[in-house]
Amino acid sequence: MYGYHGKALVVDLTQRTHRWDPIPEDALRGFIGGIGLGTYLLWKYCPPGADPLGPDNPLIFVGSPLVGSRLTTSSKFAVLTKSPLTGFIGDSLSSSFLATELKKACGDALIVTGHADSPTLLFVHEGKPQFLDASGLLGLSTTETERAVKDRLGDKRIRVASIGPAGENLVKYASIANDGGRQAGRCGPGAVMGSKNLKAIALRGAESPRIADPAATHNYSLDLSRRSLGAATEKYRDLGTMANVSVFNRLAALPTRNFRESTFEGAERVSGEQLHEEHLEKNANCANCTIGCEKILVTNDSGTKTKGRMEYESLFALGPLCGIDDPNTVIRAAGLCDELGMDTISAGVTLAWAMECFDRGLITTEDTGGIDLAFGNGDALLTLLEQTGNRQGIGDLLAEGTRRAAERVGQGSHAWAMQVKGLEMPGYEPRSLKTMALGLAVTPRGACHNRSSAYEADFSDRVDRFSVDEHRGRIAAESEDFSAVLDSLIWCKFLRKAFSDFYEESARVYTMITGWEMSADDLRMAGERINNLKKLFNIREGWRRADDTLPPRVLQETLPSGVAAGVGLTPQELDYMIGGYYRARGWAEDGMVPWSKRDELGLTALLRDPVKSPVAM
Amino acid sequence: MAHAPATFQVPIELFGTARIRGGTRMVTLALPSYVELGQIVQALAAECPELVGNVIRQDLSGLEDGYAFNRSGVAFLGGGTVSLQPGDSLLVLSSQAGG
Repeated sequence: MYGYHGKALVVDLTQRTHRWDPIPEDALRGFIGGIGLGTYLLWKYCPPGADPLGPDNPLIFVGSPLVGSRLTTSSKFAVLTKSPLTGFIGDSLSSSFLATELKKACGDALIVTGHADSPTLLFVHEGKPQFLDASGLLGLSTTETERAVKDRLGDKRIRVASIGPAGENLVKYASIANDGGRQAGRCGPGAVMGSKNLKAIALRGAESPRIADPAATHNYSLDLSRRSLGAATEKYRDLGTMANVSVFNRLAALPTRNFRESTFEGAERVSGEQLHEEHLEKNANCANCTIGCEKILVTNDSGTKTKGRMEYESLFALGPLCGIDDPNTVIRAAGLCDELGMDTISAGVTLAWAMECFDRGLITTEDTGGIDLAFGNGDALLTLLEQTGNRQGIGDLLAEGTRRAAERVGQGSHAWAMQVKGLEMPGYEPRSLKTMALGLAVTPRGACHNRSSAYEADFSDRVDRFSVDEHRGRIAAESEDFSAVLDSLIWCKFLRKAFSDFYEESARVYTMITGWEMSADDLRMAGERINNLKKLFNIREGWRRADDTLPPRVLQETLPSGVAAGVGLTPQELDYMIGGYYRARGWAEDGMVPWSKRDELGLTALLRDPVKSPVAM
Repeated sequence: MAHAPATFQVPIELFGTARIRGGTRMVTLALPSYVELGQIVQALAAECPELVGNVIRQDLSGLEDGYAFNRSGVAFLGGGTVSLQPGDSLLVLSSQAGG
């Protein structure tokens, strides 16, 4: 077998045992790797109705056929689990050296189940797990943990995935960090890791599977790397995703003060252009990446000097969304989230919800321990992030995310809890980006900008972003399928415009690496198959039509400023688009997946087989 | 006898890489009410030559892949003839929104 191992390492923390389970060839072909293969494995290994924070919920790390190939941006891995935030599918991507070591040490996936009876460091060395005591690591930040694990094991080539205090404290949106601060951030995988008493995973492997056609892969790799340095990726190389701030603000698409507004008077101060000029220390790359979108920023005020990665989502959520225009505060807040091990989007959106509650008198200084939680108070933001990560004071409430926090506070506060299916919204204002509004409403993991790239249509001349029409359903479905293929192979999204024909080229690469014939149409169908299985997982876990929606604020209030002043989105408009999306997908009117669609995509057969018997390493 | 069409001043707002390369946030071009996108590109290249070869194609045939024009923050422009009114501005920005 080329490109794959054809098996996964399954570790049971309760019994302290492990085994190797085979992964059938048709599942590898049908779900590719990354998010797709992870969805298949989640379906197989997560018992229906499992408690997300219980021992039965698997935590699945998945590589891809491209990992280890030296193709630019391909050093990526996926983390799948049932999300404690949403109760539905939870998937995240992260990057860099851990991906390569995962593939060398654990086969095509590492599936962690059970619950350790004491804090544990799982060390997998060439396929052999050791269960080490992690008591001394408790309370350490993510980067401190990584450093401590490497020192303890005495091998700098070991790669570490770890949780910080937020994961230990079961903050519902805790992340898993690797390679010096990269994060599998969304959907709360860090809380699942914490619930298993698993502080860190250390990996050291031997070798990756062979590539079917190394010469062709090498030549293609050189060509793709050259293209990756062209104008299509220049935005990411120059300013990174921070460039979005000033553009989104001008287009009235920058969520501000908890989505009350979509323009921010302080946007220029926290714009990518400004941060690049005044705070950039250096650019950085993930392993094996030629683009280098990472911007390492440093504070420049008289306070404690802080360095950290910055990207648009962290910037919008911890800046404009909380009414904060001080770049030093935003840099510190993003760094704090990374060290605590918390998703910056969910953290910022939850804090913004609390700020609005404070503004309306639902949360008072009695609740906050005297802290003035007004929009724009940067010191309050930093203090409450710390409290949230450690579940101290009101941080214990905020650690639950907006949906649960609003249920506890009540008094109508769910109307401004900016989440879909329990996952907090990213930095795309849905009222002024109507295609994206649909994408946010229907995407299986909840409010997500990555599994649906529907925004691309809104930032083009293909649609009128202020209105709805019958084509949005098809556009959203196609963008989800495209993203599913991208996230399963796994290519970085920022490479997408460097392909001349994405599906044709990707199919060719897949064949070069695996030796298995794959056509562009096969890949398209794989994307559709993956999204249908995600939906089936959610249906199995209780999804209903009413879960595909947007927060009441979006459907009841119009935008007050900028070029989108007066623009809104009615429930009827959203329903109209959702209906079109279900039709484009071939689903029933109530959003259920008919058996005929499962058959058409081969899902009925692929899901029928139980997990096969273990195989030898 | 044919007359040259009347022109008016149109602000061109630069974002991201275009702003960095151009070294300015905005330039102003004298443009007619109905103008080909190609003419705008050529006028912008003349006003802001630093953009040629990175934001504007070397042969001035259009913007490089990954860049787009937007009119007044409302409509993205795909090509052909552009209708402008006094008060309009043109934005030069990345066409890639991912983040």
